[in-house]
Amino acid sequence: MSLLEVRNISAGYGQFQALFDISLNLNEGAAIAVIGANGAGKSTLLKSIAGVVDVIFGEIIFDGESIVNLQPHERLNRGIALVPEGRRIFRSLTVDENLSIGAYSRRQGVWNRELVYEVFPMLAKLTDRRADKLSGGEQQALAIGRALMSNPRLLLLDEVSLGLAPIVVKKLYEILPRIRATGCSLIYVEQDTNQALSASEYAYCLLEGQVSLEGKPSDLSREQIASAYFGIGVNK
Amino acid sequence: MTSIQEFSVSRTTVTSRICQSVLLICVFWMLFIASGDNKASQGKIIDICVFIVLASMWNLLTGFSGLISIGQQAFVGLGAYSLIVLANGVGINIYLAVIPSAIIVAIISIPLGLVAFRLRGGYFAIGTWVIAEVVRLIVKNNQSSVIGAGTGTSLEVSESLKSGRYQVTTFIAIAVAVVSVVFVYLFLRSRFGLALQSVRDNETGARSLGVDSYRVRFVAYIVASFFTSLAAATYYIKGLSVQPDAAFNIGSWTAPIIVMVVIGGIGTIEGPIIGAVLYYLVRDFVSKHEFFSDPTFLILTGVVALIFALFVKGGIWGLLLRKFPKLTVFPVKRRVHIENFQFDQRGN
Amino acid sequence: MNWFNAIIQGVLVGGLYAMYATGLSVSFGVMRLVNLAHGDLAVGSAFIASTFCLATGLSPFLAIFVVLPLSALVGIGLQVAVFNRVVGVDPSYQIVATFGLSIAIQNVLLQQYAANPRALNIGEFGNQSLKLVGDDVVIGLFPLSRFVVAVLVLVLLSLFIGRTRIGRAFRATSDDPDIARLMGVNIRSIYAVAFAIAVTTVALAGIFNGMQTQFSAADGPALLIYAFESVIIGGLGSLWGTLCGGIILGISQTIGAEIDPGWKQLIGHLVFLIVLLVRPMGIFGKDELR
Repeated sequence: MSLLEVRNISAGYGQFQALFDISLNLNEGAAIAVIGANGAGKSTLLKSIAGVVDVIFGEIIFDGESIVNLQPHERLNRGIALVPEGRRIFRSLTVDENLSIGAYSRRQGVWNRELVYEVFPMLAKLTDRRADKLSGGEQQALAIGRALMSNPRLLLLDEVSLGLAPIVVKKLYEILPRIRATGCSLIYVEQDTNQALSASEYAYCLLEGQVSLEGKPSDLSREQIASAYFGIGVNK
Repeated sequence: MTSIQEFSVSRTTVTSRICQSVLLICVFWMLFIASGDNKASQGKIIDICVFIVLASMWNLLTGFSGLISIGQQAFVGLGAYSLIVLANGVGINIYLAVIPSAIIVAIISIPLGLVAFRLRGGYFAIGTWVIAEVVRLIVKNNQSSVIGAGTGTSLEVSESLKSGRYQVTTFIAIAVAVVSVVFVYLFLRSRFGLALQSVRDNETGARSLGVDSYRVRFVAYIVASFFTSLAAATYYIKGLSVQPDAAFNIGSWTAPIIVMVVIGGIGTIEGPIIGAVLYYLVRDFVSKHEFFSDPTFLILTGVVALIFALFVKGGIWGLLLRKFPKLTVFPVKRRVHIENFQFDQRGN
Repeated sequence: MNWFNAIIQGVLVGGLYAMYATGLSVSFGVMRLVNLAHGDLAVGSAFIASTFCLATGLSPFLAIFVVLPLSALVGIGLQVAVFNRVVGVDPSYQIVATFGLSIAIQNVLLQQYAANPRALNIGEFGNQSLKLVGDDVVIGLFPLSRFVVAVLVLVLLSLFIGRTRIGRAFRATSDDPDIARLMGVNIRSIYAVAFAIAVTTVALAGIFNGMQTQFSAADGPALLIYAFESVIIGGLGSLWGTLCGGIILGISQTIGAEIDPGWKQLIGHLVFLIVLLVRPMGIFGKDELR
């Protein structure tokens, strides 16, 4: 059963349109990847799902209902959580307080502080540390943990690997299956395609605000991805 | 892609030439009155010119440099007192003392700026006010006979200069206003002005392109201090008597200046001029009607400033521009003409 | 000259300044808003309290319980009508809007109450005092209790901000309003609460001020400046810093007044400028906050 259905949306910032007629489908419990070059519209897509960017045309159906007119906090209450690009943790709050803000919506579910600390043991020792004193990897873990505290049904991960050492990225990606095991669906947005593709069942590639390629990662050839990613040799 | 065949870059447009001619006629009309004998009209012209300068300078700071000052009264008061010191103390001819007193204030503004520039945004604003208060208190506590402490003093005009004082002052006021406006215009068109506006729009971005944001803002601050005190000195040649509480009063200087600029249009060269003239005309009209007591007028002033800041951010000039997009008196932007196409450098 | 006495009096006045400053600090901290009408709101509240006392014949202390809820409502009203529109926009419009508001409030007060100063009469309590060190140091009972209340207000506020759910949302909004919204924080209501706190504390300070000294319609700007200086001396983002800032300002003023009555304000301002030059982030400020 489909949890999220994005139907032909166009979206943008003010005068600038970043997405053109994008459609996407996500089944309950699934993980999909959205890949594409810098500026392809990946982040805008996640932001329009989370409600931070206005959708100009099109529909977004979540759990059978249109959410396109809902405020970000109302979407959060229905179970959509965003891990924003650049982590954006609350710098002057402690690790523990960041998690508390994550639970601000009071959505019930399996996730609580203890489980987050169990899944991200690197945070467990740092509960009272101010978030701006954490390393990049720890901040990313905190940003994911914070989003999980709202017990999302759909977790949107924007550029988790950005600016992190490969070993740290690998560690974070190892944890993601545990999140899926709780029944949470995932959308990864990455520039670095390999991690995202190997962690997902279906993938969309964006190019200049449009879907240039979609399919199961196993069905997509390297050449196909490369041309869809960079827009070379694509017949429109 | 079409190749660019013939193109030319220009700033002036037909409308800008028409508007400039109209403005020039206004200046000649004022000069005509200045040469006459009507003291009442001359007084009005002096006041309007002074406020055009003050408003343009506040706008140079706030509208173009992102420096929000509510302490311009510091430079009004300092201009007045520098004039007093040079004329009464040193004995310089009052007319000749105007420019030197503005230079003195520009020099004083450097240490004041060093303090104010420690603060940013809204706190910079209050900081400029505190500085103005400090200067006022220092002047007020100065017991020397030239300054006259809290009761103030009067500009001494030598017998030979007494006749024709209004005429000469009007000429000076017109000159100061024209020079200030033209200076702001040329300043903004210069490389420096471009740097200034880039800092206002995006400080980090401008700095990454090598613009020294501190320096360009500081220069704008000094320029504004200079012209503000130049206008103030002119004003006091007309008024003659100076009291610290009046000369350093935020309510009689900075408040009307802000209102003028915000109704005219922040961040445009034309806005402050329109605002100053309009404000002066309205105040003049209102002062003849009983209904508008001083507080009532000031309440309206405050509310109008509030409403413009919330709902009419571009001011009257902005509204005009929306109606007539080609309207411009002082074209700052460069326009590229390619055959029939035309687009400006901001890509609007 | 009695230095020790001057310092004690300065500390007591400093508590009042800190109370003025709290609201400024909170509204800047949470929404990056500098409200130039802050002082005028204090004066306005004192006038309303005075009107209430004259009309009912009740004590000014009872007026507090009427005026404070009223000022909380005014705060929410102003936030919804005015300040929500200037949060996050170009600060010049913020300054112009609040400056316009300040001029309007001042002149409404001037029109309603004329230029005559008023005072809130608290009767005998205002004259009682403790005498220490022989008779050299006189501590007024009212200034002392006012100081205690100021400290109490700061304690409560810092507990509120540090320990409660809404307090956390305050800090999160201060750090990153966009992400706070994504976490389900309704930042408009956070702003309304913050501004209600700002107006309520400054109203209380205004009434306390009126219980000891005369006040008139044009006093607002001076109070704004004292509040501002306390915040900057203490350092942005630190409520305890604000208390210390208020005390330092208070002491500077009383010592200045000891030297020469005309220097009371001047010395206060100069100390502020020196702190600004030597330690621009304030005495307790954290360097990451501008």
